[in-house]
Amino acid sequence: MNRLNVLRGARIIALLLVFALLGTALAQDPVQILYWDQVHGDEAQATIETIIANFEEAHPNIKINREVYTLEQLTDISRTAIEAGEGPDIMYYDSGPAYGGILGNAGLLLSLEEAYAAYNWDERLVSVSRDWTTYGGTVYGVGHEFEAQGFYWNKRIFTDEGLEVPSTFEEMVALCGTFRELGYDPPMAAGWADWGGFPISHNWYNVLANSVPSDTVAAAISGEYPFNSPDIVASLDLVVGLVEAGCYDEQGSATSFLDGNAKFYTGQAPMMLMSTWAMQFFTDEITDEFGFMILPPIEGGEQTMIQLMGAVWYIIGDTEHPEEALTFLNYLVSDEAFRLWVEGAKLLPGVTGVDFSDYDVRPVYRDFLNLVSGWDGPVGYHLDVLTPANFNTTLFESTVEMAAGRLTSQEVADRINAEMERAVEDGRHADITG
Amino acid sequence: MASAMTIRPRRPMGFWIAKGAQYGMLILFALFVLVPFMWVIFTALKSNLEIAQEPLGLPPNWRFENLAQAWNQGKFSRYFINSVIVTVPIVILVVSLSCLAGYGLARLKMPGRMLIFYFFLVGLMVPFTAIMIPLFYILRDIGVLGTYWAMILPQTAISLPFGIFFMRAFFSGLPYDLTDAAKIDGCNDFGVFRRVMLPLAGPAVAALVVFNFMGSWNAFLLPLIYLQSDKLRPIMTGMMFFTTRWGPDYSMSMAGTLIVMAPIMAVYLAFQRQFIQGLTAGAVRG
Amino acid sequence: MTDSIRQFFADRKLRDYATGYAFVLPALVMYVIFVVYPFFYTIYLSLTKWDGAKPVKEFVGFLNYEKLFADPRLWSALSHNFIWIILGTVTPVAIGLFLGVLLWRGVRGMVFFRTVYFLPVVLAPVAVGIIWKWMYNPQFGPINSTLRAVGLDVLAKGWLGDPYLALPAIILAGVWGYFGFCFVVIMAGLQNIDMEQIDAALVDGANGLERLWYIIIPGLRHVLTMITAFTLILGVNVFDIIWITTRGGPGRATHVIATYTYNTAFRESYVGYGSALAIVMGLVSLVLSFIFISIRERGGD
Repeated sequence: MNRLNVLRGARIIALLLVFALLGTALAQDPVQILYWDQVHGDEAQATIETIIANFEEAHPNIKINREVYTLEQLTDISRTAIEAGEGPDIMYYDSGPAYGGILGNAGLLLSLEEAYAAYNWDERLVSVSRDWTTYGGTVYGVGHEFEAQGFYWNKRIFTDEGLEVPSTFEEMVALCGTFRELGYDPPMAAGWADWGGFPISHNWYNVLANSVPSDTVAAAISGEYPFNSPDIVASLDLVVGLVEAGCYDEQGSATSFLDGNAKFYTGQAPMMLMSTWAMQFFTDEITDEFGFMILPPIEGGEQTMIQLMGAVWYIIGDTEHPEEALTFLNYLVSDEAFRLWVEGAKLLPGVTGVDFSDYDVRPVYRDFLNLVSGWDGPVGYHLDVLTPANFNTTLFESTVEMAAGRLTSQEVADRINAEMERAVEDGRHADITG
Repeated sequence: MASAMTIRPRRPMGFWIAKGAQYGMLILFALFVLVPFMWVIFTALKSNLEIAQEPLGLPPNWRFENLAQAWNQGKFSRYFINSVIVTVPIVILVVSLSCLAGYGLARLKMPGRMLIFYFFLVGLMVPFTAIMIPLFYILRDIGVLGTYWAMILPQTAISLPFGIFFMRAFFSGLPYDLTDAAKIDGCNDFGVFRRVMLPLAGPAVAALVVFNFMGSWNAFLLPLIYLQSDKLRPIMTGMMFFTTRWGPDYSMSMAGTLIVMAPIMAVYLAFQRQFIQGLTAGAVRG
Repeated sequence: MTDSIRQFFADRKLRDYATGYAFVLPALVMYVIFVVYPFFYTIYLSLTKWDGAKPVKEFVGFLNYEKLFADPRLWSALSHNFIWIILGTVTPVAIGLFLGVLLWRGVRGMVFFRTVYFLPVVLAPVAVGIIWKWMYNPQFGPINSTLRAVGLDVLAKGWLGDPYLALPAIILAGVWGYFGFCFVVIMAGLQNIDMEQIDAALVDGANGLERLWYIIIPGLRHVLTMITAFTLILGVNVFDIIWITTRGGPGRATHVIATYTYNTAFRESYVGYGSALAIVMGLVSLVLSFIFISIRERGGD
């Protein structure tokens, strides 16, 4: 009896000591949060650094250590690193079954169900933030970078050459030939070298959304409608038509992303098909003014805007500091950070109800902000943040080969359909038909 | 030789043409090797604007500060230290274990000696790709992922078959009377190994050191999978992450490449005989 | 117990055996844990369907292998390995032989040329890849810039972005990094060729090609099989330089079995299927290496 009491007492004292030691340790050394990021433009990088500095000033007990990677690099290392216990605490990675979904389904991410309730995120964030980061019924991410896909056009060149902004897809195709005749580079000049078939596949999503009803696309993404159906093959044929009309740069697939963009910034190419994500690369040194428009309507279809969540914040499941990581995450989508994201990084956070009318941004970015807030037409799907990894790999590979004339549209469709069937069989697809 | 020196006949025209063609070809291939190096150096010492304006010529201003900038931005000091931390134990482990086992399999009596040797030999045929997937889970389960051991242990193990093969061939070739004499002097097997055989193995050990040093210093896929933390990352994956991150920043990416290449090339130029012997050790019989 | 141990060590023969095993044991333990066991583990994984995370690895028998045979990506990857092996062997060996014969009787500057030719061999494949990715850069790279400077704009291509050119372009980079190795090994082999035979052939009026074909190549037989075996295995295992330059693209144009396996197992998390691919690669390597070792053993005796 006596002895037990002594033991118990000793144990309590020991525990108290441990807590005391921990407490002093915490008071002296800030909690270290490792943050893996994929923000790239110079100004965007400066912005995130500012946001982190502001956050650390407000929370002196938290230190954010930021490491920058590309999407490809994150896909190389994230799963193995997290499984090895060497991952970050919080990371900025893409949404969908091919990216965050692999990690979420493997149980490597922290469920954010409680955080969504605690921080009232469902009200503050656009609904797709939750929808597109829910894997296996659990929400794991906070969506960021609300994006649209479309064309940037150089207003100076269009005025100088007396060109009209195309109002139909056919005019768009014809314009590619006009550019070439005038000695300019084609609109799909942006580099593919870093990402293989990303850009041409992205163009296809646009064509698909504008030529096939979005319910059908949603069914295809959910594995309920074959990807080699004639209407989808026809949409691939339209992309082949773009290639044949000279809309693509012959060396595009060897040109790096920024070198490709530079052709547009320097006026070598009058148009650029790209996501609004690329706004972060418009620096003050670029003096031309640009407009932004979405793909003009295709005959027989309704003009559709592709919207997507670029990247998403995830908190890693085995983080030792979930509280601090969540505090940081909530700060990243706070009103305070919002203006910095928009004005500095030219990225539109997926936050609702913000009035950005007095923000200081370039006209091209304001075009986009107005377009998004005023859009009441149909919204299409950006496939690769919704489709599984094996589907994406094959899609990116096949579209490049299609552009090179090594595969027909039917063969591409058959290949991606086979991959979708395989993913459905393994339960790796996203069900977005609800 | 002497006769060629004393009698110097007039060379016919054809001789000089042949000589010229011979040197022409030799120089052509030397340029094939050297010109890419030259362009790496030129690119590294230009600004990106200068690269865009004049991609081929000499740097208009030799911007050596690019190297310092790449060194700092690329965290190369940390990556170099990490490479040394993993490479030194790997080389020591591979060489010592290979010497021991190679000697045992060459000179000591034990049942199943050839069987064990062939068992190791099979390892020469197993590509790393064939074991890399479960190795990840094995390393995780024994708790070494996240430490330098995650590279040291597997890299050592996959280097052993060649090391043993090589050292066994070497020890087999040494004369037997040496060991017999030492044994008569009262040395046990380990004593014979340490006092008599090992000192003779200098050149073979040197070749094996070079071979394994290069193998683990240059390893890429293995640390790409097992050494994920930036704190542990060795130079090769570090360089890959640096150059692909700064991909369009050609001067930085070439400056980083130059930083990584320069030390190895300097060591090579200083010890080229040992390098050539070490790296061709497997192909040229010792 | 202690008695039997003492008895064991008292027996001189057994003690000798124990010493022998003691020399071999440390290497054996490392080897078994980190090479042999994982290999069998790969075989096991290749019979399962597993995403690398689920607690249960679903046993599916040979299903993954059945899928392999119908997988066009595997066959295209293997064909690229095959091309790599052929071009990546013939070219550097031919260059090495050519330079070796040129330098055979020693010329002024011999050491210089040897030093230069061997220089890229000390570089990591990663560095070779980065250097050549820059060489092939379509806009600013030295190759296209040179072509444009001399007015050959039509020849300026997007080298690594062209599905027909990408693989040969990477192989050329590999040859650049490797021919010096072949050259040095061939030079070593040439030292063993009997000069008198050559002189005799000269007297008989044999021309250069005949000397090469009838004397030099047979004399180098051993060395050439060795190099071929080496390049063969390198060709099966090639990964680094491709991952650095193209990551298997454009399309599938440069995927080889190692890049495909890595992509499947680690990036797409098809661990079971990736393991089956790894086993295929192991088998290919095993067969080729077996040929290599039997040639080596035969050539040695």
